[in-house]
Amino acid sequence: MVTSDKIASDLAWLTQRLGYGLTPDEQSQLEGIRPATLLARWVDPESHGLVIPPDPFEGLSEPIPLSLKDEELANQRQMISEQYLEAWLNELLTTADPLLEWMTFFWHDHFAVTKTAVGDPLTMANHISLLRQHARGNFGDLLRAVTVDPAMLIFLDGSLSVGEQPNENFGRELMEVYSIGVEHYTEADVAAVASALTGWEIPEGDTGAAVFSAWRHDDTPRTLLGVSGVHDVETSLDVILGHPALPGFIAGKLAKAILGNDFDVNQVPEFAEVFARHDLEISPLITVIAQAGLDKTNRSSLVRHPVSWLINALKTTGAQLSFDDQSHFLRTSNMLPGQPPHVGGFPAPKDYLSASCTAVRFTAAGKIAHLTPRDSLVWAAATSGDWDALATLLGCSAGFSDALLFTLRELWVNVPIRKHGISCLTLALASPDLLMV
Amino acid sequence: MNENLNRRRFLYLAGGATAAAATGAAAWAGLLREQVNGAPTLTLPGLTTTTTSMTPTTTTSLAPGQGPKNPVLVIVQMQGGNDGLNTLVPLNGRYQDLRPTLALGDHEMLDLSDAQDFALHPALAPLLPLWENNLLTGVTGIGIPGQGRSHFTASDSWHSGRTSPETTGWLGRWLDATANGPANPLRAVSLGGGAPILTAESQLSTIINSPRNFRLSTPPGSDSEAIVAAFLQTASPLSGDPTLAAAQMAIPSTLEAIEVLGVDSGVTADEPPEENYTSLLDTAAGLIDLDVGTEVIVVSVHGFDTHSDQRSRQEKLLANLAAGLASFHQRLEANGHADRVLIMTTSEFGRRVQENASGGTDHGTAGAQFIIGPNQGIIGQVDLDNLVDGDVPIAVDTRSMYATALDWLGGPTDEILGKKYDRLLDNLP
Repeated sequence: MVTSDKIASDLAWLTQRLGYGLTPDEQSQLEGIRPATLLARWVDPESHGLVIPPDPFEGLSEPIPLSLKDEELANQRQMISEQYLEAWLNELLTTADPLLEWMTFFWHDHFAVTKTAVGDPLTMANHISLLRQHARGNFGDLLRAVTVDPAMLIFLDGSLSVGEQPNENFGRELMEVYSIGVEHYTEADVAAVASALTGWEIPEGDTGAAVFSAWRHDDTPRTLLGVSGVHDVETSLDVILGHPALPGFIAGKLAKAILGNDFDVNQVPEFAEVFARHDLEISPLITVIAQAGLDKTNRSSLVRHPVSWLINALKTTGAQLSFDDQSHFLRTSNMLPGQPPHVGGFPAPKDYLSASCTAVRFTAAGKIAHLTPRDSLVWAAATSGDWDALATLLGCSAGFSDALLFTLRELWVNVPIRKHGISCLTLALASPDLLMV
Repeated sequence: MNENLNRRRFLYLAGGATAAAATGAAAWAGLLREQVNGAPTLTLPGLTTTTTSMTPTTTTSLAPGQGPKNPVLVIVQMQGGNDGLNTLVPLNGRYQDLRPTLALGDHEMLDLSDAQDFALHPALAPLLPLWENNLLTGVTGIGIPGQGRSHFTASDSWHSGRTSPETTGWLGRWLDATANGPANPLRAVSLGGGAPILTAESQLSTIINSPRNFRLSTPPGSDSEAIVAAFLQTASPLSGDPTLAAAQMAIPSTLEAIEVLGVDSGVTADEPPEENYTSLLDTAAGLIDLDVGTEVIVVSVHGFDTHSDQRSRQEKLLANLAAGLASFHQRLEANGHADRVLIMTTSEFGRRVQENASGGTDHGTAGAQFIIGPNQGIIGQVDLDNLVDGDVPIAVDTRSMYATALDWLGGPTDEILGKKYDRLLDNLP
């Protein structure tokens, strides 16, 4: 017999670990739904009669005219780039398909392409759209598409890599960070794959597909990871995608992201086996990992990263925080979507416990509390001192910690009645409890 | 629209307003410590932790201007792998043969008096006065044997000082080994992002991405004092959940660091957020001026991974590095701290000797670093006739530079590095 507490805890875990929290309405719609059902719907919405939302970047902007130069070009890029970011943040907040956005962000962190390197905002947006398109699809398709994606070709210098002197930047990260891990290749493999991947370039002013120029390419057959005859993108990726280390490498990374401190390295072979058996389809991998999380009874908490904290706070309170304030918070937290700080992606969760992040979170909590609608359930709970209700609404299904409860009660007694809502909601949002997922 | 909490307000809200204001940071720190006094000591695998059993009687070391004039180590990280060959240029014909487009011309490089075999990248001109005053040492051919060419494995080796997997940084181990009395979160401060070299088993350090944005604001209509005091109070009692406990422990140290470092006035959202060496080292100088017991400062800037367009990219970065270091050192001298501060640059690897066709260089092994302190000269060598896999061979072990730094801090050097390494400088105090 599964208790209702366990079901509530499972639902909260799923929606927080594979999404960024729920509005009060979304919370109430989940009543009576079993966690396994929710997981199945999230992993494969279409087979449950749900519609996959359109790409939020679709048709958002025209290409920037080639005639623009210098300052005008920079301004135009900045403006369009902000349009995309705003559309992205809005989609994270309002999507009917949370797992699609969560997985898109997972791949964004995995490939870590940054607009700082890419420059053109449409090229960057197309890259994110590509990640979204394959987010729950086939990893082989995703990796092949990313390899010749203009944003990636710019980011890791593939578009500059020519036959006589290949640039190793992408070839190395392709194996080390994107597919099999550092212990499975040699320096000779880096040189071989770098040569095989030469020849791709991006026609100037074109934000569409990259083109292959045979004269820039070194077609000499080489040995990659023990397989001979590798000479181009297709043969390189055949070898890499067929490498026995790949399923475990990708499965391990996704499992760490979902399971956090409950990640058990001994479970990776099981996840990898499922992934390999399904020809690198991502959905079955998500399912088996999430199910492993649901099967646990005493789950550990994980530090919630700034995107997750922000979206959860906005969803649960209904606060309409301005785009400028949202992007300022994310930038100063070192987690601006579209700008991972380096090729390793965004910082590890525990890095968001830094003094910097603690300070900007406190300030953002105050702004969000200030903008929380006064007729909302969250506001009512904060003003009336109903801490259990407040905890549930804010996504802490097991209630607040003793430290926070004690502090909230004392604050509620110490500040004038008219300041109850703003003070207690600010504190709850800024608290360590809301940083746990 | 937001009310910014400035230093004075902090002191006020810390309670006992006038007494606190009179003694400054020490009083605030004392109050922080009273708040968390009695909390259990935790050791959490994989998380930066602190000892929270602090007592208010031991806060005198934090009083501005009254602390011991301790030695300070400043590590300046060039993240991404700086090209050592074009930084500290070896003056032999092979260099220009091997770098047909990227090599600096003879007329571009800056001569170093008394050093026949090396010259400086022109963007490093602001460092020349330090050389002339016997305060600059170049270390070339430096690396860790077996460090690899991956950003991640090489960084791990440089951060830990070991080639085997290691969860702590070499300076984190020093913080642990020399912990004495109450934890002072400002003992080790990282500016410009995370600093794995400070990762310790038990000691906490303060990580600030952007000093310019390091402040607290509270919403209009709220009771600022009450909310900040309550925020501090959420740190105790510590939860039995280690992740939640780590998040709780971050709060007192953050408030303490803001009290010392936080800016008073609002920074508008449209101000460019990028920090660089000049701005970060300016904050570092301010921290040393405050004399709040800071012993280690780490400053990090990304962007040295110059696979393409290296000439202009490296030039900008080195120019900013040199300008930042020169003004930092001037300020140390003006305020009487120069004699107790040792500065070292680091970078996870040097770059490949052969350039690629994108006007850049790929990942290599040995690189070049600088030490600013009581010494002058060039240590190490660049043997371009005996490249290892196309890389400059390692002539100086990075751990020798670390050993020199740890000696400066007072050790125990060999214990922390697990082996006795040669020292690079011989006339340290």
